[in-house]
Amino acid sequence: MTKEFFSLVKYQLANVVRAKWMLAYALFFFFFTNALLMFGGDSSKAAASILTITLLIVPMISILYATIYWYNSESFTSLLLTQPLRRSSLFLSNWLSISLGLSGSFAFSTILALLLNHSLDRSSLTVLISGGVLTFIFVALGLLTAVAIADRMKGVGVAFVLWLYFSILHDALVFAVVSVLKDYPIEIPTMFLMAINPIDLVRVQVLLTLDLAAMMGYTGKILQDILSGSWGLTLTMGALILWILLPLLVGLRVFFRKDL
Amino acid sequence: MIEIRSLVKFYGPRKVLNNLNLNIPKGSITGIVGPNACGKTSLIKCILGLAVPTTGEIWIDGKKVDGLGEFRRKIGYMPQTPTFPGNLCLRELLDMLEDLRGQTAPSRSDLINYFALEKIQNQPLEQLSGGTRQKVAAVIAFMFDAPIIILDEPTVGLDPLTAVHFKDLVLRRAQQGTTVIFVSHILTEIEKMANEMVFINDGEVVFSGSIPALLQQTGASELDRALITLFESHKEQRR
Repeated sequence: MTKEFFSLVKYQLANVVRAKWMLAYALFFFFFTNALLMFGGDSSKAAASILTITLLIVPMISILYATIYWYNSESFTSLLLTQPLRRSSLFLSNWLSISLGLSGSFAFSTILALLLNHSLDRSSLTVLISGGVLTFIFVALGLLTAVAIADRMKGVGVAFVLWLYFSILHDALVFAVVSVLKDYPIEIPTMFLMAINPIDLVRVQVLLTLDLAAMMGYTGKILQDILSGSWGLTLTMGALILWILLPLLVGLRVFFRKDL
Repeated sequence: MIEIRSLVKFYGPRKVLNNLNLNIPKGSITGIVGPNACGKTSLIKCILGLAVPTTGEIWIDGKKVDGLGEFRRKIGYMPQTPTFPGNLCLRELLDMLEDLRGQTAPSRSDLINYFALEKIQNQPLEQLSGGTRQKVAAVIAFMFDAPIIILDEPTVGLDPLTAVHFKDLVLRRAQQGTTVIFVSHILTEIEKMANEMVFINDGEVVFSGSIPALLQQTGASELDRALITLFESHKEQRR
């Protein structure tokens, strides 16, 4: 990485972390985690509840924030590209600074709440890491959406539908497929079907780590059957890294060819 | 010297630049005019490297413009409606641009004083008015003393006093050898500042030369009449 890339990250990150939205995001997780720890029973139950909300809220905010941020800064992006810098540096620095800003805000506020309630343990840290991973994935998806779709309204709409699909519709779809084809040996095809959802992958990764079978949705249950063991963890980690790299590489390719 | 050779640009099926050829002499102030959607902004974007020409070439001082971006060291650009990262202040924004170029901007503090921006240097950019943002864009365009300055409707949003200050700055820089290209719909501005004028219609250069030459060619006594005559005759030719 070059000096220009780190300069861009430095100033863009400063711009991102000072945004009022970032404060609201941090306050939400601080109060939510606090409330769960105070009224939600023991810490393992609280960790499970935090995981559920993390899997829902973090992808939504990440993809929508990244998409809107890109559209709002299009004019400045053009101005920056009249300077002697590479498009790849600009695109990747946007991704890194937004991801660091959002995941930092999420992690800082949640850790603070956990510390105040003396509940910072292995399970809560695993949930925190899963939130961070999801942030990096969904920010990449948000930037890809914004770069690929010129129309702002359409772009934000597509970002929302992507979140809706990965958060809710995908699991329902897999459930329907498995119900219809339950008499056939479909474990392996189902596993691939599930691997195309990063939220399921993160959920299973956390549940395999914490052995929280009660938290598993239908897709997660199948994944646990197939992927328990260290090779399973390695496989899901690899798939998650692919989920970061693919949108970034496709987004870069689109951005290289885009007329601004 | 900027040379544009057989430039063609399509946006989807729409051809916005049609085999455009143009030479912009070094040290000149060239005003680009034309009706809405005639290709002025597309031409500027191609020169800046923001849009990739479908075919054709752009050469700056004997070097072909490529996608690597180094040629942009020679260019300062002022957009029509600038937006900046709202949570940074002016000082940080200018620091950022210096970091990206890897050089100190020689005229930074002079320009900040010239446009009376000293007191707002630490204020978040989102709090600045449209006119002040336009001044900031002017500072960015001129602060590296680039040999080529490209201005897109530069005085829109500036108060009359600042607009006069701004035009004085452009004239002074041109006298020092800077090549200035500016797009404007304000013909009096073109008349006062430009020594070269380019009229574009339907993505083609209809006229390129001095204003007296244009008036002589069309037989008109005023610039606006001359442009209407050019526009009508170009429309006739295309029928």
